[in-house]
Amino acid sequence: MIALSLGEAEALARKAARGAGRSWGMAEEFGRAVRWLEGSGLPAMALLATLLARTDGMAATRLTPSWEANTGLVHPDATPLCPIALGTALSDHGITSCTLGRIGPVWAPVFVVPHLADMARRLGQDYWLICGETRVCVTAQGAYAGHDGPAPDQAQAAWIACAPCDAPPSVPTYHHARADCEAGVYNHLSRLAERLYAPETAARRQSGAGETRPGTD
Amino acid sequence: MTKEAAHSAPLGQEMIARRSPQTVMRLSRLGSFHQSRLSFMRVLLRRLRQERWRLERRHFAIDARGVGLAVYTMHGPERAYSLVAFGHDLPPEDRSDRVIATAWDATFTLFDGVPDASDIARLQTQIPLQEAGRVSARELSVSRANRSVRLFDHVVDALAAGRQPDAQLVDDVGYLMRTTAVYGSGKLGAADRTTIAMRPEFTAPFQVEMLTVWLIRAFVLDLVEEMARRRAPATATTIAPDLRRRFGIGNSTGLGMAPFLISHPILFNNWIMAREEALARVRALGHATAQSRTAFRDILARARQGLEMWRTDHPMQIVKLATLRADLDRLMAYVEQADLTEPRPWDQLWRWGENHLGTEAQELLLSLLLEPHGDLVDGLACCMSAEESDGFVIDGTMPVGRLRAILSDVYGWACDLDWSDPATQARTWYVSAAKQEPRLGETLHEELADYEQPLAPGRDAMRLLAVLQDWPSDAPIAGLLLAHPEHRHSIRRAQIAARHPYAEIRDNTIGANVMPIDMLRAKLSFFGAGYFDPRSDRWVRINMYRGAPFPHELHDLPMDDWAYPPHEATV
Repeated sequence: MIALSLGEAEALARKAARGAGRSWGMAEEFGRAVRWLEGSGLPAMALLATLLARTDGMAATRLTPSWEANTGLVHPDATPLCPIALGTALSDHGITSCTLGRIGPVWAPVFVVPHLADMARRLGQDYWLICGETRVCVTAQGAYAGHDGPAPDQAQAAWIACAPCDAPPSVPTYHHARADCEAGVYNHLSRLAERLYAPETAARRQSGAGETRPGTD
Repeated sequence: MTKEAAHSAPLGQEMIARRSPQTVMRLSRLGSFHQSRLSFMRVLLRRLRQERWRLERRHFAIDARGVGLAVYTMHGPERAYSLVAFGHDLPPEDRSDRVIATAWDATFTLFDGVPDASDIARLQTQIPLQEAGRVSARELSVSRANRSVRLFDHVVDALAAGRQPDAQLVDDVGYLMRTTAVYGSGKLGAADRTTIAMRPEFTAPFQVEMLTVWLIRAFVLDLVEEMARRRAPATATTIAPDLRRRFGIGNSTGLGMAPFLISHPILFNNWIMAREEALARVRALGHATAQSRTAFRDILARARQGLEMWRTDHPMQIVKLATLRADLDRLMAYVEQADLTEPRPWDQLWRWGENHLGTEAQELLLSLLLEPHGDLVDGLACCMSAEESDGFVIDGTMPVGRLRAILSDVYGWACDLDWSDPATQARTWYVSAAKQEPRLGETLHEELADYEQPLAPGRDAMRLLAVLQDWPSDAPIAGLLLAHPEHRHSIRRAQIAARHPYAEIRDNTIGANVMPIDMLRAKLSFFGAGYFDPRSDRWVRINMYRGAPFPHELHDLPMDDWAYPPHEATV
């Protein structure tokens, strides 16, 4: 197990997402979501590795919901959604639970929670993310406040909904300072991240910074 | 920065506007910045002195070759921090400042608290490895340094023989060791900044890194004196205090630092905002006190003297330096005859400078104008941190027309460029597979498109602007974001720039004429570095803490009076 700082976890998630074909802006959303989840004590690194393995190289359009003027966000396709694509769409459209019906299927549903937290803070209301028998609570301050039912660690695609929450199951949890990451997960994500790096050549090596003239240092 | 800080002005004074981002955020100007009262080294030493921090050299076991272990602990009002230093005996052929190096003359970590034996044993297995090692949340930074071939052995030899080092050589080189990286903020497993940012001593930016370097400097001077003593106990001497202070710590900084300013737009905005606000406050002063007039003339003379100690071989910097020296002479002549008792004297001086001085000298004048006005400007240091996540969430309800207007305003300079001209996109930022080192490649001659980093905000903004032509002005951008995720990062930047006027560099970062060292210098000047010596267009050597007090004398020397050489230090 590798104890990553949250900054390392965020950077690794961002690079791995970009390596798996997401746009830079979406990759930033992955990084921030991982930081939020791990900082809240929710396991994200292993789920991320699974999510990116299943969606590696897929066109963004297949992973993203559509917007219908009358019905809001919809996903008529059977291909599971990317939870970050869904979360950003929710956040971008300023959707409330009143306008979001059930939607899915979506991979690793807990990855929608950070964007739901943004919405909860904006709307000043506690919310549930509901996925089967699991309900995850975020507060009006944008913090994780516990869950009901089975742990929100499902990598499989499932349908989700969100609804206002009257009584959070626990006090908000903040500031988990580390993200524990199994070596296999770390290696998988690192391999995706390495796709961003240009192979070394002699010319490229010379183009880096540093003294090459002897006796002047 | 808070609204209160951003818009306040001295009571009873008419406000003076901060300079426009179109003026300030050009690369040529950013590449002309100088250290100032708001530089992070000076912020740190002011706080350490005000709070009576004291040094304890808890452990020092170094042999004649410089190999061994030292622990320097700074004790503050609530907490302590320890520099753990490992001295190594590095064969000369292994010495490299490149980030791809694997061995160094000395390696360091800043430990949160006081390390015990088990901590030291753990660190001993990891810190010498640098990037190949792992540290824990108890460590706040990881760094390394190499000896100066030109000076290190000379100083040890001289001290061992009972002589003082050659002062001319000391001034020519300026340092005994160069750091080649100082990692903080969660790198290599160290503590995240968020875990320490609320501590008063670390609220200003980069205080962990600045404390690390300051303690490294103290260690390095102790190191050479100890090596001399071990070699020749009967004859060895120590360096005279005044000469000792003329040693700084060198640093080689390359392209790895350049992307930082683009990747941290809110933080960069806050640095520039504080600096511009400081200038506006001083310019708004109705009168100059006799004390401030004297202090300004004094610091101007010292700054001019300091320019004689600035060495560089780089053709561009040689020209800039010659112009700067001539401009400072012109400024001194003007100030000599200027009537600073007139109303708004500092504003008059500033406006004279804008009309008669080059960019380098204008930016130095800014730093000098802040010097006599610590009461007015030092408090701005608390506004220079940033919670970058505050600007992260995109407002999807923004109408397309508003986004278009922001892009035209912030990236107006890019609208004026011909993006079909290969020279406009001659460079590509990428990351090398070897040690993940940022580099700048030739767009036409290397196949780098698949590896490009998002470090061309102007070019990307123009691409976004082209897409916007097909969208109605009143449509919310949420739809655009859904259809064009490839523009998400540009839309985020534009919204940040709309709220933070100095967030974006207003120049082409991939043009044929881009000088990455301009970005390096902007950042390093905020650190408090001086004596910029570009070694190419993409890396620069600098000096840190030259002239500064050492920990043992911090409370005995004048407060914050080290950034310019004392009058008697003429070479």
